Amino acid sequence: MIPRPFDYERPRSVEEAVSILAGAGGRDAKVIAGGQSLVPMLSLGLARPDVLVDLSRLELNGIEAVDRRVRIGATTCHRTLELDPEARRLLPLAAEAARHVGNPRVRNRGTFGGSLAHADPAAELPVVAVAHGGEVVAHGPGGERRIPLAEFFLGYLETALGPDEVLVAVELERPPETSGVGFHEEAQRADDFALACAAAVVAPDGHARVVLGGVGDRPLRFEGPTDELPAAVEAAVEPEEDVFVSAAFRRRLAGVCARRALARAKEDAGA
Amino acid sequence: MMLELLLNGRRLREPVEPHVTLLRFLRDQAGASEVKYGCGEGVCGACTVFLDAVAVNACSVLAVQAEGARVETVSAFAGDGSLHPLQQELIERGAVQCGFCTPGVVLGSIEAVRLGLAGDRMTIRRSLAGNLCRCTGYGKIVEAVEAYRDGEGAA
Repeated sequence: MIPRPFDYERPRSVEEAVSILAGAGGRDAKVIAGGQSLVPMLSLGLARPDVLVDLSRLELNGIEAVDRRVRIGATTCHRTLELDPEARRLLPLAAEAARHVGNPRVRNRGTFGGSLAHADPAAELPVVAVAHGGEVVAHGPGGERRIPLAEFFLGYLETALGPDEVLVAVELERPPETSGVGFHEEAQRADDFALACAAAVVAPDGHARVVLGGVGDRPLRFEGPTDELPAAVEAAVEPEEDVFVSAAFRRRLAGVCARRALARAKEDAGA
Repeated sequence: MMLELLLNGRRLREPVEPHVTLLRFLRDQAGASEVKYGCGEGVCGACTVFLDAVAVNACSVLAVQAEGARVETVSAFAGDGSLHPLQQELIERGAVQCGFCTPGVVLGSIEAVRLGLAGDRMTIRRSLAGNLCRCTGYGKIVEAVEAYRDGEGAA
């Protein structure tokens, strides 16, 4: 299908992007960067914005360690997380998860900031972000605002970002060196949307957290002793059935993903 | 808007509406019918092109986002009258049936080999995720990519 016509703006700075968004009035303005979710949604008629604000030309990409955090620029593409040696060293959990996003062409173009701002409940990188913890750095008319990741995802395709705010970076907490990380996903085909996925961080004392994707309206975070978490996850999640799988099967997959991600994290901690 | 880009080395300057995808622009305005329209939603890979040397689905990029970019279709990889070595391998191994997915397979696999992501059959298969062949000729395609990797691709 052909998208409905819209206006297109290519701001030269974040400030200009914010002022376009803030000045949109009653018009539906949407931010685009890689466009790997948005352009198909435009073509399918699922998104019908009046104006698109393109961030893809702004220099917002890049990954750097800042104290105990890693700052990921909004337009850093999935492929960088997956393949760049320094990115892999700093964020092994994101590297493992990024491998499962879309397909190679989607990962070449799709961005980390875009994945978080889009907030698809089955997406891998929001799950990784919540597992790390940290903050989303947004710019709005009032300047910079930092949103804790624990409060960022509000529901299906819904985040705490305001309509006049631009996500410019995400700062992820780095787990202590002695911790291990692991990711596991179950999907119908390689690189298809996750039926369920899990990201885990395990401390040497056995305390763990695991975050589940695809089984609720946002990433779901659980903490506790490693051995007790999978059962706790399976008991707590309330997935919905869809055309692919039943709710009961998805609940079971949540437990499987949690167990396997935790096992990998435990192994990683011992390594 | 006026769009300026390099298509297979040729400079194009064309008016384009913001809601036109790169795929539609290439096929309908630039005459690049070798870029195939499959699903139109980023799943099948038939519309793969290189955008500034990176493989993307042309259906999932707006034409205006390619302003100033270097766009290469599969035609950039075949010389006059001669085929790219991977195309040759695909033909010799019977990996081209209806041929609709082939341009995307060629470009996706050239990138995979270039990035060292075609080390074994499993990684080749992973690299081909997002290139749907509805003739289901994947086995032959994987063999052809392997042969290409072992030949010039490894050089």
